[in-house]
Amino acid sequence: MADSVTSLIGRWRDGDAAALEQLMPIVYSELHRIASGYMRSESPSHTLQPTALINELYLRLAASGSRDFHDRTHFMAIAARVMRSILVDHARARGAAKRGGGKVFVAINDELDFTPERAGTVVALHEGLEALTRSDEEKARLVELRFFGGMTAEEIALVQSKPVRRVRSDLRLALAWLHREVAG
Amino acid sequence: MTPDEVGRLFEAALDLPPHDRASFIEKQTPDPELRREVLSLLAHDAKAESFFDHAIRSAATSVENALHLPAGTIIGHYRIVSLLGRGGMGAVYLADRADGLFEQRAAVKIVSCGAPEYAQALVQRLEQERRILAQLSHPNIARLYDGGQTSTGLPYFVMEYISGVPIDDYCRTRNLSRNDRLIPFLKVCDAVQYAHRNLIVHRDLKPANLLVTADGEPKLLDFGIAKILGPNQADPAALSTRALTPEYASPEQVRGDPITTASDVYSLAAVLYLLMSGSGPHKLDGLSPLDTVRTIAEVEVPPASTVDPTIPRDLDAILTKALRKDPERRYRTVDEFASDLRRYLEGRPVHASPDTLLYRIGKFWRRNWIACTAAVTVLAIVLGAATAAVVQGRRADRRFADLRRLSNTFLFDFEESIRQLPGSTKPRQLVVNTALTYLESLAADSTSDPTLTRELAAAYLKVGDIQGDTGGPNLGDIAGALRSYTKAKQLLDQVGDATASQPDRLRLYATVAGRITGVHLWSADLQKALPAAREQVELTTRLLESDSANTETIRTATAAYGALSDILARSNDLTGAKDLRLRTVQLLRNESTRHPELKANLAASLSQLGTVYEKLEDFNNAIASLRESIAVLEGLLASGTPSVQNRRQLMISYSRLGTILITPKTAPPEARREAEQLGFKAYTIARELAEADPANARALSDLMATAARYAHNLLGAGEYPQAVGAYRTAVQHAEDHVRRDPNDREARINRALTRGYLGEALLKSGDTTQALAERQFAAKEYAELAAASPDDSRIAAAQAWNLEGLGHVYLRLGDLASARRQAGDGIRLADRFIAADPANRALKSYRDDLADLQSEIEKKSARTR
Repeated sequence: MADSVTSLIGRWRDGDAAALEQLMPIVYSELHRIASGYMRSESPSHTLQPTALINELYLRLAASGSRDFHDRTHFMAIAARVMRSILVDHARARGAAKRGGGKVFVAINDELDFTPERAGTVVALHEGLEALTRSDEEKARLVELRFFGGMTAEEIALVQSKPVRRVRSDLRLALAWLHREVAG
Repeated sequence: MTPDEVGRLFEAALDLPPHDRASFIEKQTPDPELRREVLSLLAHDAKAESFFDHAIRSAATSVENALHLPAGTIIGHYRIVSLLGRGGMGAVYLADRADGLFEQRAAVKIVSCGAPEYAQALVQRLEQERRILAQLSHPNIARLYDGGQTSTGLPYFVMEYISGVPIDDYCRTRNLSRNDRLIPFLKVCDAVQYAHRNLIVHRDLKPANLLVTADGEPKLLDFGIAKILGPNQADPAALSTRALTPEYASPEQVRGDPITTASDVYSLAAVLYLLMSGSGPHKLDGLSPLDTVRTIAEVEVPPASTVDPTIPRDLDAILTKALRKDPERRYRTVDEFASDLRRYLEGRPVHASPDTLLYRIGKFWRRNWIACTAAVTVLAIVLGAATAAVVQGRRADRRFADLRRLSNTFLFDFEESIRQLPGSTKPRQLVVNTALTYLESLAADSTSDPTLTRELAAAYLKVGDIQGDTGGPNLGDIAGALRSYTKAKQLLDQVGDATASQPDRLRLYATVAGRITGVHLWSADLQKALPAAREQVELTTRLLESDSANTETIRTATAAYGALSDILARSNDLTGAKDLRLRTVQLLRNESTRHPELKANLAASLSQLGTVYEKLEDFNNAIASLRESIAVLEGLLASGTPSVQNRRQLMISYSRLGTILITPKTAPPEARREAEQLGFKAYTIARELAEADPANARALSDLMATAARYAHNLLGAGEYPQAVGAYRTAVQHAEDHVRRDPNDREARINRALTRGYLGEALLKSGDTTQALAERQFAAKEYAELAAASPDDSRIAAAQAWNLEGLGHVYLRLGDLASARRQAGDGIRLADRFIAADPANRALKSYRDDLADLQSEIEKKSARTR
């Protein structure tokens, strides 16, 4: 399994778009599995950290495979996208539930729940990113890697062969632009 | 103002302290718009990072919260009390009935992992399985009350709450003696056997799912849940998401192979091993996941007496037999396992005996399943490199010949050797496609070589077989198969083999012609099938004259007679069909004394002869033919290796005999009981075959058909609630088939048929409301199917039958106007088709039934007035 994930990553890196489609469901369900594993083993106050999750996911899926840095960073890029969709899908589903959409069997106690505003934020960030992708795809990708993939500016710089300084300032510009879009 | 200008200025300003930035920008540009833009972005920069960081953290927290429900949360009719535990798949909560209708404690399991599509698929599977599982009513099985989807889209189950301890803890804390431990264990076996009889496999038997209550009653949890949660076996990506309890998982489970009732036998035995010896059958602590899988799949379980020398030999033998790697070699049922344990308790001799030398090949395959797959890949690479070299070098004759030999060895020997192994359809496809690619590139290089042309034709024949040989394991690509067979025939026509005098050439040609007939027959295209079959019979008769001693020739000839007989039967020439079948049976009876390898063909022909007799309503001859067929097959299976073909043939003969036994209205009760048993035996074989080879489309269709026939037999035996359950199983298989290929007309017809029958069984068991829903669904489906094929009399007959059934449901409900409408529609439909084909017996009998319905309606109408 680890081999097939590694080879899928390799194929995707070499431009095979179908490999990404095969990879996504694997990453998606593994990420969920690890998330629930966390809930089981960690203390109740533990907060689910996207970055830590993705790192663990990589170790798990590609453990015996390549130690190639490029494979790892490409994997991170996929995982970032998956993490983004997990968070956004979840926030949207909750939003829909609150509006009374879908079959309602569960009335969740609001006290422990996140507020609708916050739930809205991740969706708004996602939508802002979509808008940014249309005008400047490269910068949108930086944000995705940094926030959903948990990569540092140094790592991004290395994988994209850019000066760290350039990555940092592009990120800040993108974030400022997004913040203005999202928070007004 | 360009984005680049904005970027450059923004970046430069970032280096300055915030209060110096405004004046810096003013100095850099006179453009007011650019100044405003950069200043605005700089103002947002300060808050942006922490804002998004927070947003994402809280979104992650909400995912987390969704994994843990607070007390008081309402799920369906239940209110969460507390968390009982978490597993890889989600959490289990203690819950109380919330609507106050009655007091009930329950365990609510919420499945909280997977992508939305996955959750959706789970909910669908849950819906399908829930009704079947809810029927499981046994004192030692925890009930499944309810299930559904939470508002966040997560699937959940509500189960009977059991207050108890795992069976191993129970035995240990009470310090039970070895024999006393068997008492709760045997109750567990009875419960599992009860579920197997209801066609439900547990799939995750382990101490944590076998709780013992304070008064010593064992209770089985989570029956059938593992199947709902388990990965879709047709999807290789799902392998990565398999959650296992490896200590008790069977070898086939860890390999990702299909699960059968034999897997439950293994898991039960693994639990018993623990109860008897104090440790599990394998030492898995500290092993990597890969080594865990290898250990369970390949390492023989050491006799329990090596762990605890006081374990008696008979108990050792029982455990060893139940823990065999090969599911075929374990106890065939949990009952047999339990009976042997009872014999041990009573001090009588047990049936378990030490390993024999049989099944070596199967063992080899099992041990080498990784190596075999690798061999295919390596050969493919070698062939690929060799082909390139030859084609580039143009006519390096010797190497060319070598390569051809290699391709052929690969294609025929290797393919043959794995053909009858369960689960080999996909590897076979890989083998054949690979070899074919190389042969084709060689053929392109030398089109004038007749031997090569024949080899290529043989390769196309093989490819066609794997795509859609309707007489063997195949991938269900009928159109692709026809293309391949046609290509083979064209190639053979090029070299003039249709009129060849050499038996080998004629035989290959006849085989290809036979396959083409088979495809037309499968697609119910009688107009194309009839001339193809006549050509085939003509060819093989000629072949038989020159080559009568060859068993291959005899097989080819009997296949041709069989195909033509089948077509004649479908064209209502039953006497012609019977004569051909009798001729075939006679030929095979004679030849199989000299060539025992023809016995399987004899059994198949006898079964088909039985079917023709059945259609002629000559039931005594039909029953005699089928009994002879079963005897031949049971003899074959008892003496030889269990081939897929022979097991499937036995399945067909069991199933047909069952149906025929209850067809006469005067069938005695013992015939009805025998029919029910035969139906179950047939379904069990179908299930084993389908689970052993999930990629095989024919196995799926067999599964649906045997389940439906089993249900028919139950209905015929008057076992209405059981018939409802069996029809639901059939419906589920039919739905699976439609999902697999939504455009498959046959699959949709089968679904409509099984749902209509389910309606029938529901009506008979008194559930009129659900009966109405099923019959209405079927009616809608038939209307659509009939609109697409307005001249198909088979669909018309089924539609008429269903209208009659629907009319009966309305009649029962007292809705006479609707009942009258169905009866009228049905009679008009039947009349239209009977006018075109006055010999159509099925439609005439449905028309009679519809007329009866009409008079019943009028009688009732007169009474109510």
